[in-house]
Amino acid sequence: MTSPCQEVRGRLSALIDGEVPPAEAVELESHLEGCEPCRKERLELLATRRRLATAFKGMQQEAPQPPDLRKPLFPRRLTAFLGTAAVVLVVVGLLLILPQERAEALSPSEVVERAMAHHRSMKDAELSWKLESQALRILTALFSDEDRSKVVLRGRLWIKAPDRFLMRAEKPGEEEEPEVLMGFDGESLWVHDAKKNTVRRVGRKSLDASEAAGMLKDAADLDMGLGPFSEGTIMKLLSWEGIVSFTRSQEGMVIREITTPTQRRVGLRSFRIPLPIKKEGEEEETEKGSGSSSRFEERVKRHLAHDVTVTIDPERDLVEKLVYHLRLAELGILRVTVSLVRSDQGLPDSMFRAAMQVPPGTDLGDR
Amino acid sequence: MSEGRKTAVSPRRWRRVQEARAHWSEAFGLGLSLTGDRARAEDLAQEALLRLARTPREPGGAGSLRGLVLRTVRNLAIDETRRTTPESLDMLNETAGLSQDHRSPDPAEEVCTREEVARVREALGRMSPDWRAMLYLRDGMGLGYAEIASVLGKSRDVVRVTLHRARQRIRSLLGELVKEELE
Repeated sequence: MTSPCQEVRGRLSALIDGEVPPAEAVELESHLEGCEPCRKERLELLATRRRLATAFKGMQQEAPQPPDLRKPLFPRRLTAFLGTAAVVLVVVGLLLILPQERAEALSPSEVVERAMAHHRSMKDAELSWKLESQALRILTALFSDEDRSKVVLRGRLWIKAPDRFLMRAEKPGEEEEPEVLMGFDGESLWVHDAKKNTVRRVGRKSLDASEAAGMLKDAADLDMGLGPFSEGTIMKLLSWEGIVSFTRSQEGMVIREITTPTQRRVGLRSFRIPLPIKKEGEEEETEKGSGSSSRFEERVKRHLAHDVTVTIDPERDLVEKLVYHLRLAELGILRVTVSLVRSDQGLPDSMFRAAMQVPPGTDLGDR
Repeated sequence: MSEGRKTAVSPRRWRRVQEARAHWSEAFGLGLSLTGDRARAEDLAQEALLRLARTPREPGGAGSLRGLVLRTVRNLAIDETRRTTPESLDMLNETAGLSQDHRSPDPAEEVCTREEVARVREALGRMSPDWRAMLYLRDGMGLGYAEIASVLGKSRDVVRVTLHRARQRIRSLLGELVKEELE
């Protein structure tokens, strides 16, 4: 049971803040008049409030000069990126114009070796690889297969150019090959053999030259190229530089976090990208068939057609969860439907959009 | 990818970001109350302003720009604390070399020294982020309960009840700290 005093004290903060309706204030004041302990309590709350106000003011005064916000957005990183972009452009150009040069220009072992050297020499904070749609797409397509359905991989993915990535992953519980280091050079998948310290070309079931060519062709057909660099493209890429840490399990790929080069994490709460996992017995014929690119194409297409429903709880979820999925949607990787969990009294659309930074024109789906 | 969609920041959004700089120190203060760390507070405040540049819509009215900045700071800080271990949330406390005279019966009479700020930070560090935010928004910035509710995404009644608890809690924490310092 609460005594009248206890009950009054519970409302004293609101009273001193002027947040009780007049009638209630009158009632409280009349109690206070006759109750010294409660009056003392009020005085103490007032004192605490004053004390906090002064301390908070002191904290505000510690504020440094507000930043010139143009700086972090544009200069150095952009310049640095433009340099990289120019190199990528040249390489992409070479790829398109001189396909016969590809082997020399992009020696897969060189890609992996270089990437490994990077990996050895760089600290996380120094890494500045670019998360890009095509590599992610290829990667998810490659790993959304039945063979891997029982394998749990934990690792990191570095995505450089749209068609190149390096993945370092652990296979917990496996003694033979506890660690996997593999790279995709735009044509083939290459795996580093830790024991022999060599690099070999692989697929899950040997990715032969025609398959590799098929993959590249599919990639081109699906218009996954980077396209011409515009200011917008650069900004988009810039904002998505990062390292993805993920877990791949039976249920799908769980992105654990995306780390930006400055090591400011943009998202760590897990969210899941469900991957379509082929059920047993499905598509046996096509596998037996003449091989080539059909399986890959099938997988990519299936993935592209894959719908994801993102559930956002504005009380709990990361803004990035939504932004990330919308980015994937923008890039054409997933079709995203957003559904909103109303945790409190529910947020009005406008507030939700503002708080979650929903791009204009995005359908919030069924709410 | 080759579509002409622009992701660069429009001049209008830049103007808004520039306007939001008026709330810089408040945003920093909230960040500092939440994290207890100057560098992180600065990061949070800066990130909040930068996000305005990427926020596609104008918020409702003029007053809500401040609300939006504060809300963003709070959300960023909460996100951050979720992925940080509780230990690393410990506030910095430069409480070494404290002045001796904290025995004054009315704490309000105390001169607000650096030690006092450090003590408040220390006490805030022992509370949950939302409680800290509430105290800052109310006692540091003088926001009304309705506005606090909107920044924190809570109901007004929740704010009313929680704020009272937070005040009581910080009062007793401050008392404990003074006692610890005296010992």
